[in-house]
Amino acid sequence: MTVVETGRHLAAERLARLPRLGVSVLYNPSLRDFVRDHAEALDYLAIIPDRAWQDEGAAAPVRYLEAESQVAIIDRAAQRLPIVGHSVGLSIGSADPLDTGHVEQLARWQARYAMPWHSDHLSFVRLPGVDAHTELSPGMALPVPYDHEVLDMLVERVDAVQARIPVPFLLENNVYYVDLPEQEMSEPEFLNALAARTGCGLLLDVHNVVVNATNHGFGARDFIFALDLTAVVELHIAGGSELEGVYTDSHAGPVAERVWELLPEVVAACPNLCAITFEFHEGWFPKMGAEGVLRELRMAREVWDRHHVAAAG
Amino acid sequence: MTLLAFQLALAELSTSLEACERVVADPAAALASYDLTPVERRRLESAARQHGMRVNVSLYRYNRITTLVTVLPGTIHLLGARARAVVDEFWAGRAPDRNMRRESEHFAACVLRMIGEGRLEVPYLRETVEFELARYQVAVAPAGPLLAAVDEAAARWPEGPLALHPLARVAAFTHDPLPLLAHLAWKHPPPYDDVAEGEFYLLLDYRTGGLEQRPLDLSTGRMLHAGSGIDAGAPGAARLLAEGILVRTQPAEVAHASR
Repeated sequence: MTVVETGRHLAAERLARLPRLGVSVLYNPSLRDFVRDHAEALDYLAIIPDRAWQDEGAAAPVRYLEAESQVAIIDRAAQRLPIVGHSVGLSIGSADPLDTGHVEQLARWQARYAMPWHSDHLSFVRLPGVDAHTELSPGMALPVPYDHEVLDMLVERVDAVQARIPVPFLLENNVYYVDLPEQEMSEPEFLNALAARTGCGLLLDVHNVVVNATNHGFGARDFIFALDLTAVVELHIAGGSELEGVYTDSHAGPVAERVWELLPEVVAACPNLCAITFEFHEGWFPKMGAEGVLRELRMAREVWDRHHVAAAG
Repeated sequence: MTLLAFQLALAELSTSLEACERVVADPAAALASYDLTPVERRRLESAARQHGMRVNVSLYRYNRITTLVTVLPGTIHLLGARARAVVDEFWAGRAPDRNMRRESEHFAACVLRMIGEGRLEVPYLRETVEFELARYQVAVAPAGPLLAAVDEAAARWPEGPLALHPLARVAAFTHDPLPLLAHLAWKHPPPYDDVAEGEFYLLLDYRTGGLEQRPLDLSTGRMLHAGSGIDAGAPGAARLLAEGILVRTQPAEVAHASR
């Protein structure tokens, strides 16, 4: 067995020991009452920790100002449900030094809620500004080029995150609207190499794959089955909408039909899958209502149960 | 350095169609300030030509305006058709800030500056932007440390100078705030003929974790709007101190000596 194969085997063993949680939503403020009233429909609660604090910057005396109203909601949910963190602010792909202060804050939150794993995006959302005290934000998560140089940088960073936070760290596949030519690896090759070299897990956003496949003309299923699916711990499912004639990952209400088509086969093919998380934009809650959210959760649970009953049998 | 330069350039293109057009027209000149490899240069030239960049720019604009609409909804509503020009001017002068409070504070300052320069004459705008910013600032203030500091100051300096509680704000209005805010909440188009003009003050009280708003009488409003340096002998001060709206603070000479 090669070093890479050994590392992959050990990582898979670690991921295999994670709790199989089930089905839930990614929390947004429109779900405050829903989480209180329908906790029985949720097996855990996925949260975006960064939405519960204001980052005042590394130079501030108190860098993270936590919104106590948000924290209180999560605290209440944590009394009934496991909490899983899905952060958006690590910017692990930024080509400046890893933000260790942010890693420390994520570590505090992982410990606070005993999260079984945590995740972020394989992208960059901030860049250094004109001096050491400022930063720039492109206003969205932009993809990194899938090159060996970038892979080496990310391996170091993922190792640093995993050295500090004692539970598996997952990275989410990106959505992108612009193709970068002459990349040295395909996205699945890059994700597989990153998982193999670091032992990190993958958060497979099925809708992101559908969006990219739609806009860039490849097969969503081919992409998914080119991944090392033993690394997949969590799935994201969502819906989208058109903007400028392009299909986007806008989280517009119910889960996209193409995602439902793919989901049973994907769930069956991910041996270490622990969670399926439905994410939607909070502006859609008035249209969907609690019943609409429950319907999406029921559909996801049918897929989850079908696979887990079959696996148990 | 070159990967960082590439990311900076990609971020610039993803936020500005004009930047994309410059790259398409003259890539060498448009990318001259970035230290790029030939491959990175070709990637950016390709990206600038792709339709997906329109999506990136739209998403950038959507995400950035969402912050302002969330924190300053009435302000954006009152700006109406002028909002785009005001926002464009603000964005042209300032990179996005992921910290919603800072982004909103800078936008509010930009709006107030334009009002002060006579470039924006929109009824109700000044009082609305000041109120909405104060409401957000107090909502996201770190309550735990501030409450602990209030308790500590009360114990250490029982005769210390009076100031407004740090989890409260007083917003000044030139129109009756409650009907005005109701119109804004319902997104009614101005003018609001049923809203009286005058001098009004509204207390924003976040001490118990939820926002409570209440109108103040004129003398109380004027006194509290000052924020600090409040005369303990002023009418109503003792009552406001007992209510906890006013709190004791560190005397200036103590603060000065500790520096």
